[in-house]
Amino acid sequence: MLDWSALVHRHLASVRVDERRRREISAEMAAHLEDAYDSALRSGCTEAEAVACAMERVPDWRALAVAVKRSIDEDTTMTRHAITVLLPGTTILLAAATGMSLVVYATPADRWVDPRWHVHALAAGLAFLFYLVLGAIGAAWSRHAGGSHGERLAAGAFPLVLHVAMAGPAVGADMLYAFSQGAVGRHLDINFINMILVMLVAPGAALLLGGLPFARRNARLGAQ
Amino acid sequence: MVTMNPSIKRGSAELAVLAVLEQQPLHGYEIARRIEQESDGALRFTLASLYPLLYRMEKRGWTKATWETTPAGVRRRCYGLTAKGVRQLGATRREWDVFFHALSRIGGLRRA
Repeated sequence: MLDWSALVHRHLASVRVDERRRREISAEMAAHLEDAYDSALRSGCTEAEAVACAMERVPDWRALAVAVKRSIDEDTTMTRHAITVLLPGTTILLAAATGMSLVVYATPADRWVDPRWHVHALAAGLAFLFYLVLGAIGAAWSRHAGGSHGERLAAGAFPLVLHVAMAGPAVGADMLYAFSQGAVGRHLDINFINMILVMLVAPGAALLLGGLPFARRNARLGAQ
Repeated sequence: MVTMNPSIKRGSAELAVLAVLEQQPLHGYEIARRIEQESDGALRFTLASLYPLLYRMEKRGWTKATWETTPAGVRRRCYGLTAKGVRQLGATRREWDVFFHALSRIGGLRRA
């Protein structure tokens, strides 16, 4: 009788995995082949026929090694969330950061304190549109990668991380100031309501609105 | 026996494995044997199509594998469904149901 364990172990030698796991995989697959062999013998096959019957389960050893390696490597390469959320999310986050940097760099200083309301309205409108598009790109990318409903929305809303990172220090500085003054009621001269509206609520709404059309569950069969 | 397109087989493999494990925990050979038997030979697994799928399911937390010793004293790695796997089976069944329903409307398929 064939040494099934040695046979499987030899053919899976190229799979890079720790020795204990390799032995486990080899033992499991060897048991499978042995069961197929025993079953063939019980059904009246000769030994040679039984071996051939068992070997039908492995038409291509190389393909088996590749498939096992791929299933094991999923842990060490990109996980599902990395593909469906982090990759599209960080890409649009970088696009948002680049866009903001360009605006800050290209806008003349006096425009920031321009008293005319329509200048600010136009800037806010353009920013909203920009984020709407970013949210749509993030969610569409995630959908293309097989992301679920929630993953698509998360990918689209990902640039909010950047906004939280910018608003966070301001809130922290204010708390530190109140602590250093020994008075809870004292604050820095920051309009927090405005800040939250401009930095979190408005961009968050734009990103989610942009992502919504791509977040429908029936967008692609088998996306889950 | 109907010969199925390999891509359809791949998509249905997950459902087939989860469904046979719903009945009781099984080891790899028994999973493949039952699926082949219950599908009248239409679904047939090689080692390369079964085990990577089982390892993925285990990693996703749908199944839990334990080494067990059979009455004959042979060690086998048995896979059982977890609560997450049961939920996944329900979701996969619904997905395939929608898919077959849509196909049957379009293609005039007969249900078994």
